[in-house]
Amino acid sequence: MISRRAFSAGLLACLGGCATHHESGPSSDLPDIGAGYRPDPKSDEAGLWLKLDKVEQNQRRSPGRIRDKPINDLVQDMVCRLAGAYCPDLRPYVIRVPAFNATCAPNGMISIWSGLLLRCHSESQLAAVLGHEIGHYLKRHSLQRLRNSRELDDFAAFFQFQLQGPAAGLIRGLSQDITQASKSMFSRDHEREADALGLALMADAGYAPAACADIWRHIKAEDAAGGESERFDFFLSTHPATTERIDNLDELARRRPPAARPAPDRLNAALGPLRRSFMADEINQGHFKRTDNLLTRLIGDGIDPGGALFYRGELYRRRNRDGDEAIALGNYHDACETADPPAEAFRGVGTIRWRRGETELAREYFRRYLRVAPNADDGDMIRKYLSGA
Amino acid sequence: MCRWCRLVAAFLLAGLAGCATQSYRTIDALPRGAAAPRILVMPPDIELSELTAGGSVEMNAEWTRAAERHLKTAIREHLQRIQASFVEYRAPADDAPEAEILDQLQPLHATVGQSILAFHFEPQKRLPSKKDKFDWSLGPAVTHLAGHADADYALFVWVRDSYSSPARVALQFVAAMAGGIPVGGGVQTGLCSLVDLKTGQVVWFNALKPREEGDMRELEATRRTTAFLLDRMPK
Repeated sequence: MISRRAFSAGLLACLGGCATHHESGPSSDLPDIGAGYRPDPKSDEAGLWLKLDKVEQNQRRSPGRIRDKPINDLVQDMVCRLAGAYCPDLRPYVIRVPAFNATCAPNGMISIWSGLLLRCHSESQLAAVLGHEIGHYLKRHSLQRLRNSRELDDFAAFFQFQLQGPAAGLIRGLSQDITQASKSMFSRDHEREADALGLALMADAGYAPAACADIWRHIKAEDAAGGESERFDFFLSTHPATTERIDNLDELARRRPPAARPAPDRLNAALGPLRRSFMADEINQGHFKRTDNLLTRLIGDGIDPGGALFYRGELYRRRNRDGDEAIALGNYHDACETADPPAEAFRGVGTIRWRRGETELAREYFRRYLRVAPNADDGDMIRKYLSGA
Repeated sequence: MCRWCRLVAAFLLAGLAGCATQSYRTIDALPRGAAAPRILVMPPDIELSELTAGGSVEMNAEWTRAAERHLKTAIREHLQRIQASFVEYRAPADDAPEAEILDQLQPLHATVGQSILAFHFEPQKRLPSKKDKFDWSLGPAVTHLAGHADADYALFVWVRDSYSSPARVALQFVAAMAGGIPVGGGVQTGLCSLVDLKTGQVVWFNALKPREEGDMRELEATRRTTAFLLDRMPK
């Protein structure tokens, strides 16, 4: 039975009423988005944008948003360098989520997660990710995926009625698998396109194209350390295998001539003390091996070694297995000898030495702690240790 | 449609209001002191979508924008007709300190409303901790609204409405031909609450039973849906 609602909608459409359905279009070979583009209010694209406008409204005021001026100024400037004429259409937000990700919504909202910033060693590496995301926006990939899914699901819905007989269940299952695989392949093609376009955008802006593959090498190493060797699934993976992406990005980077005017590297200055707060979030996640891999890499590459050593010490102290305290102590000591040690590293040495009965050594580090952080919340308690209590 | 046909239809539909909704109230009338209690009308949270043949819903921007306007108008008209004392919510600036809390209240109301629907109206699902009492609240954060607009109660309205896409209609036809396999069309669901701004308690709640009727793309039909929703609101 055709529902009353469907019937009246059809009737109204026939009568030229206001209730006509939204206009759609092809799912592939769409023209690139133009600068200053707004979708036709009658289109499916407008519905997609409105949905994301509502998400953005929440994100703009979210307590999870990081509002520090230097990092927000930097990502805004980078988006403009990368996107050129599209700069006014793109709105980057820095969000406190301790995982490796960034997204670009079809309406131009870009979300950059804190866990991604922590994993970027240079502005070029961040530009690699932003370029990729801007690539998705320029190619209108979200709209293409929406339409592609609709086409496949609609077809499957009609196809199911043709099925009769004993093999119907098997064929229905098979058709669902094929639909799923098609969607995943479509998405993987978009990722490849965004990888290539992102590399071109960032290299054109003067960033080092080799950074694109580098960031994926970091992720691969973390995955391997965490025992999560890549599980590529032909049916389900929305992104190509990391190894394939690294190879392609390396190849594309090799073909680029050196930049005429290299872009600056302002990431570490812009992140400043934020990077340590991201490390604090990172060690709270309970991914011991991944986090250990990440912090060890930061220490090795000289990315805030004081902070990375201290938080590696924290990571081991909290796990507290046999031998972990000694490793924590070693990391705190190393952190104390860097150019910019966190005050807490001195306290870390002090408390472990005190527990071991090495009172004088402990007091020396407590004194150093109070010198660096005279107004620390726990200052009074630390002074008790010094007065011989 | 001729004018009196529409009147008759409206009359019949109004008669059916009792069946179309499920409501609960903890008070019959709002307590009155010296002045009539003031109701803060929150902007209606409404989305209109297309239901595709494959079964997903896609938001339709033009319909949603129109329905927002219609529902706002219909709520205002209804409250004027019942002579309620009310004030409409005005969104604070992005950087206002209360902006973030106010933003969270709309989705919070939707979530609490869904929970009331799921756990109050089906006796076998009643939560033991509620001890058969209607005890639902948006929490103390709601008190920020009282200061925001000098009101005693807030009225929240949440509506999700979908309409069959042409492909869905075709599928329904094919399904009917193929032996009467039922394929559902677009559905209208909605709920609303009156919330005490001193305590956060929901003092009155009403929900539409999901129905394949009503057309929020038109003002007249939106008025009928609004009447279903607000008909028995205490004032």
